[in-house]
This record gives sequence, C-alpha cells and structure tokens, in this order.
Amino acid sequence: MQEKYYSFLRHLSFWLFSLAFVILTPVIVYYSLGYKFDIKSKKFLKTGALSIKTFPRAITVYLDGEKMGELTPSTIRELMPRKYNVVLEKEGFYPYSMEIEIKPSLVNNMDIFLIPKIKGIEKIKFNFNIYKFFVIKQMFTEKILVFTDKGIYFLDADWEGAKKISEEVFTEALANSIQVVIENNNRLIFWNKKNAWIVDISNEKTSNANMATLLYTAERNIRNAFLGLRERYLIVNDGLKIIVLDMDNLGVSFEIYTLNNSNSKIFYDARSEILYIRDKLPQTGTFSLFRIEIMPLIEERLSDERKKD
Amino acid sequence: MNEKKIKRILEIIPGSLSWFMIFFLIALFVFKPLSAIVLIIIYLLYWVTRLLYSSILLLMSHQRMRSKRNNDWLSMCKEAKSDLKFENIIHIVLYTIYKEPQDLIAGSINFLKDTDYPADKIIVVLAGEERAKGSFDNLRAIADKFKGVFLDTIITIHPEGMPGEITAKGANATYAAKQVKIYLEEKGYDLKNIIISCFDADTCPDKKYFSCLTYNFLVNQKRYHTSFQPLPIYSNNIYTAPAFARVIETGSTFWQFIEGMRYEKFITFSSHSMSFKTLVEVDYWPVDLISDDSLIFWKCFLKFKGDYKTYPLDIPVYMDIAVGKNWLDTVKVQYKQKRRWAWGVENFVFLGQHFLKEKEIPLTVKFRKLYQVLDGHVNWATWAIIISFITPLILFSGKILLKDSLALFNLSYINSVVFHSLSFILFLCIVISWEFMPPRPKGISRLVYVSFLFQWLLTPFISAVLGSFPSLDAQTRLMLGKYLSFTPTPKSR
Repeated sequence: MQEKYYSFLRHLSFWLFSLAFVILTPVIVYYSLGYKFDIKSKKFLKTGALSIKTFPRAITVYLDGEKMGELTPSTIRELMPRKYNVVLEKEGFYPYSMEIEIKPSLVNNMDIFLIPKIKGIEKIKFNFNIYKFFVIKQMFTEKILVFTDKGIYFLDADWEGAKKISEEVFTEALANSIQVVIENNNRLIFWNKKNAWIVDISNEKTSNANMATLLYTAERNIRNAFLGLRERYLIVNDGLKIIVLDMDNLGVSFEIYTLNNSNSKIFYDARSEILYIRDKLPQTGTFSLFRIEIMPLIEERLSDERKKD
Repeated sequence: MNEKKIKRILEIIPGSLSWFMIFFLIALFVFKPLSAIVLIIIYLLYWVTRLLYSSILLLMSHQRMRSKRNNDWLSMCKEAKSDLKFENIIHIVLYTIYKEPQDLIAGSINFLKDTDYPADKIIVVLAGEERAKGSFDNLRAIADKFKGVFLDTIITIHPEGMPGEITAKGANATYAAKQVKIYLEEKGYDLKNIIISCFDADTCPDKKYFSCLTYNFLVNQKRYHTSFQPLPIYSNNIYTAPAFARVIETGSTFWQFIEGMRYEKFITFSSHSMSFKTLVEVDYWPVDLISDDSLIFWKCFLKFKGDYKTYPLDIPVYMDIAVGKNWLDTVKVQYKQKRRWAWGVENFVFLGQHFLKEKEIPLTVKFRKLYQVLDGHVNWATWAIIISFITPLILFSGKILLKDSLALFNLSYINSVVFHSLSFILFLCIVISWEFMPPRPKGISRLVYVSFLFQWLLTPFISAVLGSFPSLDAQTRLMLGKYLSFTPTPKSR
C-alpha cells in the first residue's frame, strides 16, 4: 500500500474516532446521569436504575409482572421514578417479592439471598433412638456425636457410617442433661450440671475401654469448665471452689481456689495459661476480677525453692 | 520580560498543569463529587477513543512494516532515480560510548558488519569519553578487531569539562561529529553525500537498515530537511530481563510504531540518522541539554522554519533492555532511564523560547507544535495515574459515600469498558511483539514464553510506576528548577 493510502486511512480513522467521541460523549454522559429522551413528550426525562444481585445467580426477574430479558446479576436502566413490584423466581426456590422505589438519577441496589424449598430431608441410615447430639468442630471438618440407646457414636460426614466409641448407654434424661462435650487427645470429656465424665476413644483398649468414667461429681452445680495446663487438666468451677482434675490419672485433683460467692465466674485462657476469676470481695461486698498466671507462678515457686536450697 | 523569566515560566507550565489535573480531580470529587464523576467519564471516553485509534495506527504501521520487509533495498538503491549517486553515499555510524564493556560494543559492530550494505562505504566512529578512564585503549582494542572491515574507523575522545557543555550524550556526539567533519573535509568528501547515524553502544542495526536508509535518502526530494528514524526494538537481552522491564520497553517500541504513522508529529528518538550536511548546518546536537535525540529534530525544525520532518523507516534497530544487577536495581535503572526520556519536556521550554524570537514560522504552527509537546508530556505524566489510581479511588470511596448514585454506577461500567479496550490493545501487542522475538538462547527454558504471555497483566501497574511517575518526577524537577543531570543507562550482556 502506498504512503498516500496510509495517510488517507489514518486521517479517515482520526476523523471517524473524533466524530464518534464528539457525538457519543454527551449521549453517554446524559445517559450515565439517568437522562432519557422521551419521543412522545419530546423532553429529556430523568430516570433511575435497578441493580439486582442474587445468590444463587441466574434468577428470573419480573418487574411489575413483566419478565426481564436478563437473568441476575442484572441492571435494569431507564426506569421512570415510581414504585415497582419486583419478583425473583427460580425453580426450587421460594419466590422473592418486594416493592422498591426508583428515584431519579439514583440506582436501587438489591442483594438477595434466595431460600431453597425444602422437599425431603435426609435421615441417618441406622436404627438408633437418638437421645442427644452434639456437633464437634474440627479444623477442616465437623463430627456428629450422638448419645443413643445403643451407646455413644460418631457419625461420618456423609452419614454413611457410624463409629461406636462407647458402650455406655445413658438414659434419655441423663443424655439430655449433658451440656458440653469436648474431644481432646483421643478423649471425650462431657458434663452436665452435676457430673463430668471421660471416655477414652483411642484404639488402644484398656480394661475400662469404651465405658464412660465418672471424672467428677459436684457438691452443687458445675457452672463451667475448661481444658488447661497443657490440656492435661479439666478446670472446673462448681460454684464453691475451683478444682483441677487430672484427666490422665483419674482421682487426682486439686482444689486451687475457694470462691466467695456462688455467682462467681471463671475463664481459663489455655493459650496463655491464665485463669481469670470474677469473685466477690468479702470486705467490700463488690465483685472484682482476679488473674492467676500459672506459668510465672510455677517459675516463682521453683525460684523460691532454689533460694531455700 | 527578560529571557530568564520567560524560561522559568515555560519550565513551570508542564509540571503545574500535570499536578493541577491530578489535584483538581481529587478536590472536585471531595467538593462536587457528581461533577468529578462526569469529568472522569469524559476523560475515560477520551482515552477509550484514543486507545482504539492508536490500535488502528498500530495495525497500519505493522502492515506497512511487513509490506517493506521483503524489499531488496540494496538493488533498489542501485536503480534509484536520484540526483545523487548511490556509489558516492558514505555512512558515518557514530557510537556514543561511556563505560560500556568491550564485548557489548564489539557485538553491536558485528551486527553492523553483517548488514547487507557494503562495509567499504561505512566509516565507524567510536566516540569515547575522557571521564571514562582507559577509554582510548578500550576503543583502540575494538577498532583493531575490525581493522580493514570498514572504510575507516575513527576514535574520538570527548574532553571532560568543555566550556558551555553539560555531561550528556549530545556533547560527546557533537564533539565526535566535529572531528569527523574535519576528517571528511581533509579526505575531500562532499558532505551532501554523507549520512550520519547516531547510535547508542548497544544499537544493533537490522541487516537491511543501511540499504533501506540509503534508498529513502536517495529518493527523498527533501532529504536535507528530513531525519530518518528506525524502529527501536528492545530485544537484545529480552530472555534474561525481568518481565516488568520487558513490558515497559516493548511499550516504547509500540509507541514508536504508533508515532511513525503520524508523520506531522513524528520526531527523532534514541538512535536515528540524518544528512551530515544538515547536521553541520544546524550546529550539531545540543551540548547543554539532555534530550539530544529529540532536540536535534527541533533544531532542524527551527533552522528550516518548520520545513523539517522525520521519516519512519519501519526497519528495526535492536537494543538492550535497561537492566540492573538485580530486580530492584532494574526498577531503579528503568525509572532513571524513563525519567531521562521524560526530561524531553525541556523541548517545550526550548521551543517556547525560540518560537518567541522566530518570526517566519506561522503562529498556528508554533501553537500546534507547542501543544503537541505539552499534550504529550502532560498526558504521559497523568493518564496512568488518573486511570490506575484516581478512578479506582473515586470508585472505591464513591461506593461508600455515593452508593446509590447512578452516575457512579455507570462510571464503574465505563471503567470496565476502558479495561476491556486496554485488553484488546494488549492482545494486539502480544501478537505483534511475538514477531520481534529473537531466537531463544540455549539454556533458557521454554517456560519463559509463559511469562512472556502473562507479563502483560502488569501493564496497568507499570504504566503508572514506570510511565507516569518518572514523567511527573521530571516535570516537577523542571518546575522547581532542580535540573536533572544525565545518568547513562548501565549496559551489559
């Protein structure tokens, strides 16, 4: 191609692009601001827009009963300012209907989560009488622990299999009274208001394997309990005292603090091994917060001992 | 008004305009958000149009280059109808050298030796610097390597601290060209027949460069009012350079591609060629300014009262991508190189000063040229910052402050159109850049091509960091009177 043709083409493109810019810019700017030219009234009218995002996507939109061409996520522009009825429909989901108001030069943003219709629910495939269940969260998955009339079981995530972890059969009333279950180091620890139990769920069986062992019986009520001291002890607040129970050597326990009030509370931070106690001061009759740092306390005791030596 | 004041005003204009554009948009968004959104929409539409127009130019330029690729330029030279005789044409190839290693320079001269043009019509000038210790011995060693290959090899050493000069490439090239003039006159050559090419030490001309240049010189009726511009392709070390450096340099090549289609705006850049007679007439390259490559064009433009053009040869010269010792050093090297290129904003001051004195060039031409330079530099300093930073910032803060605004909602849509247009141009760049790829050296894995493909994703970030920021830096320095000193780009292979 000769130079003059390139020159011609270049000039043609230049003027075409310039013309396009000059003509389209005001149109796009007006359109962006919501203006629409009404041929009937020969006037510019200010419109608004509706932006719809849904979960899941690809939902059919009806605006005042009229089906919109685009599935969600979608934007409906050039809407005259007034109230509209919006219906979102997808097979298998409850239809979502609401009234929205479109204002001039504004966009109404809808972000909707559709609820699926519940047709049939899944039932576990085993014939147990389920007294109580707990969901035990692990790092990447969850386990379902069930107390049944045939023992204590873990259910698989897909409910295809059930693993018996204890022969212990609690009565329905006792199973229902269990408040908390913890799984830790192949042990299952759980308690109700009165008692705490422990079950060894490791594969190595001992003489008492698979049976729940009573770990503690409270004089009053177990208010709360925490794993602590390198997860070897169960720290229990029974409303009268704080007691630590060795879970490896059953029967070994230490009463470490006597509470002044039955409404006192404790919290144990296992990460930093700090015990927090909210207890009543006998002198003032007001509640205060106490803190016991276990690890520095151990160091302090060892240091005292070394000094004595 | 005295000359100094005029110069200062001209120096302040580009930087203040760029900063004004940036701050005006931010301030407008704070006080009149809707007006700012409308302005950004217009600005984005302007850039979409400009980018699409540029991509048409890129395609046309590429097509023109392909159509010329298979020409037998040497035969065409011999048959060219011209008032000059092909046999009498002599080429001066001037390499400006500072501290570049011997093997790099020898490599470039090897390329020169391997061109299809008769070597006995080429005089090589090795223009060294006195401030680079051992310069003469190094250049002597290179000259000895090519003894008898070319018509002659001349070594010049530019003395340090010559009065009226700054430490810049132009001063060295001018000193060497003056020595060459003495040499040519002594040998009895007619300067009308001499073409000079001013090359960097790493410039490797294409096999057909000199035959194509000679043909176009011979047939051009206005050969003494024309500079000849090769297409600079930064590919000598493309397989070892970091991805971001490849993207920015390939971008420079494409920019030259596009500019080459706009004859009336096209000016010389980096390595270029011209008549030696013209060079002498305009008193050589400037010795007291940094942007010698573009300023030589404007010197000619002023000398010939606007009757001067740059002709795009569409034949490549291959150069090195500026790299440092490591990744971070490469960022620094690239930044400094781009800032030096952006220092070309001094052309605006140079032109402004001379246009005030010049009476013969029409006022409309003067305004057009000043606008061309100003527009180019102000856009260079601002467009990537506005598109890559200010627009997303407005979109982000707008979603909190003006979440129901239809204009903001549409701005977000138009912004995505801009990025789609950019993707289209990037796709063109990927396809075209593939053609300039030298053969893969041994020891480099094929996987390198994957990075060649994905490197383009860095474009928005690189356009700002190594495009607009160095340019804004250069304009700010000029605005504040903190003049840039010439920093040679380190070169090694």
